[in-house]
Amino acid sequence: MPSSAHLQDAPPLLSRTLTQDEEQTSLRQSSSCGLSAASASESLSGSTKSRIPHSKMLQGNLPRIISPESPAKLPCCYGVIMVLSVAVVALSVALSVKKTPQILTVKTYAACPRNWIGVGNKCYYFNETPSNWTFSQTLCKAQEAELARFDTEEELNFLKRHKGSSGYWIGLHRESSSQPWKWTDNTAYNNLVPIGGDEKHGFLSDNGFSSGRGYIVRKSICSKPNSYTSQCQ
Amino acid sequence: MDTSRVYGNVKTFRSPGHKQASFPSLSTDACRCPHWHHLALKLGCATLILLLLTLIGLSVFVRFLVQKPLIEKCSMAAQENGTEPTGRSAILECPRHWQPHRNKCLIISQISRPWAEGLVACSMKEATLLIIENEEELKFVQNILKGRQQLFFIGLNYVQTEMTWKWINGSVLKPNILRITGSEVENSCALISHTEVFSDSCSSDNHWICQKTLKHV
Repeated sequence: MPSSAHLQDAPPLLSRTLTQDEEQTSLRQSSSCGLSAASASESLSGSTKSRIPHSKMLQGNLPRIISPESPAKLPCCYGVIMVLSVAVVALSVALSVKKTPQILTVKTYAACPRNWIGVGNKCYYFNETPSNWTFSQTLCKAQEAELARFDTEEELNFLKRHKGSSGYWIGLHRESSSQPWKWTDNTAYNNLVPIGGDEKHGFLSDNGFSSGRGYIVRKSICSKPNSYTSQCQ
Repeated sequence: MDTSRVYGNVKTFRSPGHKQASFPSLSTDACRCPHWHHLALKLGCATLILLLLTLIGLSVFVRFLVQKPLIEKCSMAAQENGTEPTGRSAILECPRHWQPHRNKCLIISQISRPWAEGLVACSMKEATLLIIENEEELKFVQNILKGRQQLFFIGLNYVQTEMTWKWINGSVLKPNILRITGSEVENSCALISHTEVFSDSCSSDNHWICQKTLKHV
């Protein structure tokens, strides 16, 4: 009886041992590379199933092929962007350089009204519409100014330089050709420069200063004290 | 029976694992790189377009600034050159810079001086101050002066002793040719503008107009 019992125990042990071996084999296969897995699946499934994995592999390769080309194009785009950026910066610098002189010009005349030119302690305005001497004075007064006056060499030289080729009425007048010249406020002229002609109303010509009859129509120059200087005083 | 059961479990475990592993990995690889690249390309293109537009705008602006000096230079108008023949058998032409009109050549002075100096300047060019012979010529001359804000001496002055205006060739001014605005006193000379004829002092500084008569064989 005991011998028979021993014989009966032997089969269960053998069967258990085989089971463990099989489990270990399956684990090893799963941990190894995919090829073995594929082969395993092939063995399990038929020919139809085996084709699907191959098609999937091909699909996987396509993105990789496309990706190498994209990086090649990007550098070109970056290069063009760099060139354009440099061009924009250069143009901006050029513009800023050109604008600088204008700013200086504006500052030079900051104390005079717009379109008036500051010289010394005065502001001058060139009226390009011809009219007679009396009406020219009226136009100047309408802008809180008088027909142009000059008291220094600086102011005189400025007027001479800017006269152009036409005559301009200025603020000098006299009662007759034998009387002394006066400004519009009736103060005496300091004879800084001689006034040509034999008439009663002074004007600036391209030959210096001359005189004519008041009813002649000419352009005119107005002047007024520089507002900045006035405020300081 | 236990053995057969164990085999069945193995089959069930393997097949779903394979399927799940393969699909997500492939789809993920396919979507990621192309998507990122597309975004990069779009941003690059947008930047390029913006830069191009900015470049164009700045270029236009720079050209606009550069053209200003050119415009100023152009404003100094070139002198007119008249070279029309008179049309007669012996065709004569006006000298350079002179304006032809019928049998005369006219020129405008570039400087201002008293009337007497203008007269001398004209004679040095073998010419005389302008003598207007009829209304048609007056209109022609004033048409030439359009756009000029200047005044010009002509060959007409007031003779006090005779109380009349006379041309420098001695002929008396006819009232129907032109009217003079201003005083009729001694030392008066005629000034012409594009609209009127004035009487001013002969000693005043003004431009003048010379005339040269073409001689025919």
